[in-house]
Amino acid sequence: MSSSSSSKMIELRSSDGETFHVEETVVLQSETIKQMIDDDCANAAIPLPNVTSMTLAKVIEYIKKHAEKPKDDDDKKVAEEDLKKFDAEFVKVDQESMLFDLVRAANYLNIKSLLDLTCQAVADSIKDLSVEEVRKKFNIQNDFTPEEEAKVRKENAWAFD
Amino acid sequence: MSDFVPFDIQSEIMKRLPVKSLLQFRSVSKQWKSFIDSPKFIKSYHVNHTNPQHHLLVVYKVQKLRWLLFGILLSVDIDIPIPKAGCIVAVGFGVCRDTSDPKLVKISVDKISSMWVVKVFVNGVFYVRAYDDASLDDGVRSNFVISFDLKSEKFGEVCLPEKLVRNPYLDVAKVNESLGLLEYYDEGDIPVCDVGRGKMVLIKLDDDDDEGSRIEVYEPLSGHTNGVGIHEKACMFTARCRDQAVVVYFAWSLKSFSLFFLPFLLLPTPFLWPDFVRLSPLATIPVPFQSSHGTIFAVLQRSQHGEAMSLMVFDV
Repeated sequence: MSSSSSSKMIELRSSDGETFHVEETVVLQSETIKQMIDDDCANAAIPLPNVTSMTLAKVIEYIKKHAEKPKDDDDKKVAEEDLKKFDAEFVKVDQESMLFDLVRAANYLNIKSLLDLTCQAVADSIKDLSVEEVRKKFNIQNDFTPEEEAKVRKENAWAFD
Repeated sequence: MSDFVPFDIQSEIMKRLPVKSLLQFRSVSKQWKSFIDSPKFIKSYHVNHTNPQHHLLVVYKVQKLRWLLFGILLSVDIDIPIPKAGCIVAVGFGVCRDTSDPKLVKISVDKISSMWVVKVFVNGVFYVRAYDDASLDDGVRSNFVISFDLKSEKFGEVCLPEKLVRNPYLDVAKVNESLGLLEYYDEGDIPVCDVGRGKMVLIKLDDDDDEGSRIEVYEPLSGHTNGVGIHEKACMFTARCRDQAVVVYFAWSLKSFSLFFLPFLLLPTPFLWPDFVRLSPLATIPVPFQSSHGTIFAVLQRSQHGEAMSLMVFDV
């Protein structure tokens, strides 16, 4: 692995005050942090007020894994497989709230691949839910009148019977 | 899940839902409905989802066509009244690439006695092959190809070479982003498709065989004939050339279909219709789709008895 000693370390601080030291090359996967570094705002610890230490630790695990560079083509295939497995395991979290925390963190830190991965995991988990269950999950108020809702449902009813 | 999930994250999740869930979740809230129905979402959804499971569609209603088109156009809630017509009507359906507007084109027949089939869509213009067997004194039909530009909504006619005007087996196809004309010849009972560019494929539909029908692909250069492993007893059996592949269409019964796509000289990939494609027993079923770069095309036919319709849209 090319974790050269010359790579600059960036300090990140979670909402609950814990600090994490991550190589700059790794942390650049976050567009948000990249922008901060480009703007020269990363001399001190970067505060991430929206991300808890538990979530941040997971995010760092993810970007570290995704920063690994394969040495050659053979290695590349193995690494790709490995990464797929890692991703699949990564979103298997015990608590659903953790998955949502990761989505929020990926969104805030603007890490596209992580946002894709976690949103897809959420989508897979809700795709078979009922409308009521979806509302509950996202805390969404039903703002249709019963008549309106019946009409919307009827529009697609044919697709489901 | 009690934490607040902002709408931009909700929308990121929506983008990754399958079509069926999206349709259902239109009734979650007004915000969800308007997001899912928005042309912007529909466009981006199409770009992100190339997996065939996300495409589909069918709908028919007597006198009214209500459709939802998945893929490029998702869940657009419109009723299009189909004007009454005594004879067979063909309706072409497409989406204007520039505006994402759905367009429905009804072709009513007056002098022309045959159905027109919307076949080819190239660069925002679709083409239909039509023929008119009443126009000539000798009773020989004459072919023509009509174009319709979805943006300008103008019809045009493609000038055909003289020798093709009278060919009884003419068809249109899309070949490398251009309109191609297929000449079918009769050689015994073997229909021949010439796809141009020196590549010739013969399809043998062996209807004489009581055991079913068979498809073979003939390579004129080598003289070899290869069976492609399709040997079926189907109640309907059709083959068409489409782009770089031969599409074979079976109907085992009115409720069971298969499409096979045969990339030229390769083995077939079986493809089954989604379960929820329903058909009216009255509907006539042509090879029902044409698709091109995100624009989905359907052929719709009204049965001669006038009551049933089927719109079948399938994006391959």
